[in-house]
Amino acid sequence: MPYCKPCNIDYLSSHETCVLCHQILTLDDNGKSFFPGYQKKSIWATFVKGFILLNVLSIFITVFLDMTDGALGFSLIVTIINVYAINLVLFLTTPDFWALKISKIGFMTLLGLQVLTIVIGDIGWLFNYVIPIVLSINTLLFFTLVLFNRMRTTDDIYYCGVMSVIGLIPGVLIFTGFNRILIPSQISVIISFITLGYILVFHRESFIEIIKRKFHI
Amino acid sequence: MKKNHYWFKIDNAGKVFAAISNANQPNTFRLSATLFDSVDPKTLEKAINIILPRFESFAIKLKNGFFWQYFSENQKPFKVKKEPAIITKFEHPKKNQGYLFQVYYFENRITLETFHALTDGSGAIQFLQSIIYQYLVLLGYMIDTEGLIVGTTPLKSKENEDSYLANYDKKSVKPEKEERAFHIKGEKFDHQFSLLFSIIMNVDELKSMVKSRFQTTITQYFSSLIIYAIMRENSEFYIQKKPLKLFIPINLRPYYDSKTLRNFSLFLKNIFNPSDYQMSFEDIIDKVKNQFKPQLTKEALTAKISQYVRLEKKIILRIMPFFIKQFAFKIGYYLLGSKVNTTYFSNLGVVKLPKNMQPHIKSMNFIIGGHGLSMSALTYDKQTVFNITSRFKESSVMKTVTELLHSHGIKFHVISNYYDHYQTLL
Repeated sequence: MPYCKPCNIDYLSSHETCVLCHQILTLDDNGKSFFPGYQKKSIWATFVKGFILLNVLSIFITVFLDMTDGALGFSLIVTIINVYAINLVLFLTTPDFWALKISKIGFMTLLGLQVLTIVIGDIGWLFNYVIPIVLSINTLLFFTLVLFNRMRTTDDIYYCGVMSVIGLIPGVLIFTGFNRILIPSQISVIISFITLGYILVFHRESFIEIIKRKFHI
Repeated sequence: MKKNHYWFKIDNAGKVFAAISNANQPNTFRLSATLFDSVDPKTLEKAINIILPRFESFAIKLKNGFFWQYFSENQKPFKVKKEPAIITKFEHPKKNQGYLFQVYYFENRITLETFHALTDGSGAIQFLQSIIYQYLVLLGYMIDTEGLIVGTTPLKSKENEDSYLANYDKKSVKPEKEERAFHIKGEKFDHQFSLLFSIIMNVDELKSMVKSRFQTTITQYFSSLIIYAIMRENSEFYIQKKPLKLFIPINLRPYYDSKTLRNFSLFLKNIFNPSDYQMSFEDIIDKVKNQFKPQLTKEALTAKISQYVRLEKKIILRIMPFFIKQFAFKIGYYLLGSKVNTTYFSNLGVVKLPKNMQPHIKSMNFIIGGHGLSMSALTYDKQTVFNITSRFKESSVMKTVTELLHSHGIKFHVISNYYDHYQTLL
């Protein structure tokens, strides 16, 4: 049993030096390994961290360069690409919680395209095409998952419901006269109504249950 | 019967743990049992998946609601892992299939690491006992449970109760101002490493010494050891002019006849002022004893419970969206919460197992993780294990504790997770 004379301590676990005074221990036998040894992290985790860091650096550098030139157009595009790249790497490395991530990617697409419309200076394109199309695709994606019962948790019903409510926004834009090109917005509204209707008819109890949870009712 | 859909509001203590925990403040604790034979991971995993539906308060995941977080059912299969080198490390609630506890195996040891938002030590020990029972049954052993294994009894709704809310009494609230405490400072290990220094002693020898020499209990004796060692080894204590505050969690279940498997404990405090710097060990024990008594009355405990519950009942807090609440909790904890105590000591007491299970289990241990120095103790069979866990590289408190134990005539052995090559690695 390893023994430290200065501290008068018998160790049951295997050590060559004392944990307290770091003096070399007297060994009757080597003791037993009670805990697994610490090893450095895998190269993959370091790669992911490095990748994220490079993307963040890229954002700062391009924003800085653009600010010195006085125009932010190029750096906004680079920023959205970098953020997208980070999100995709995280999506690949942590496969859980895909539903939430799909929503995030959807919203990022929206955000990215919004930035693009600001850069090219065409807001009409944003309201007439970008918002309705992105919302339609995302709502349709969730609806497909719900329709084929591919949900992993009841939370997906909630995300689907929320997405379809957001999908009604282009309808409001038609109503208020913002949208002049009607077809993309109408498609978004139709898909949203179908999805909401489907949820309320076939998954009403689950939907009410998840609303209760989310709002602590 | 196994339920597919259920959810719980997080209890009073859990709400704070869930909102503030991170790598520096993991709020995780570890319970382990060392068997006489090597652990078979596949059988262990099977055992957990058999008993998990019975423990609804464990088979959950953390979800974000609009006003508060909540626990929602988790139907995913649970997977055991090989024990990592770093103990009580923070695991993101979204990892590990969403489960808020981990079960590890290493040689002949089964380890349960639990996030404090889920339960406290007394709740987790019931779960670990049931895991081990089921594991032994799967290995073909016949075990008479003697009514000690919760996992073999039908699920009672009382087990999922929020006992803080159940025992809230609006009239008994006595607002208490919390003074800032002395903080131990020093260089910390990298990579969230916590040094574990387990002192193993004979419980009969310890009990008779503590009773005959100091007329006190084991918890009060260990508390005094810690206070003495911290006061002696930190010259900063006298300079900072802030009191040393030792927080000791008290299991409230016996006081309120609660059967909950969720959090139901409160901190009892031992407070020592910088003027007590030169106090002898005997005087420290007397002061600790005197401070314990008034805090352990049902009236004082109800007042404390009600004080905490009253906070979450405030209308402004209730209607605040969770993302703002979380931010407020973090700021509040950083400004106040983390500064009100010096260290923790948690004694889980004696673990009782059915007679037929005892020949399979060599030893048990209970370790709490923290951001600085924390202490814990557990007694099983003839052994009391007193653990000192430290994120600091400085080990003088441990040295003083061992010297005191020697001077009181206690024989002990030590186990540590610190290996020689860590000097360069951490």
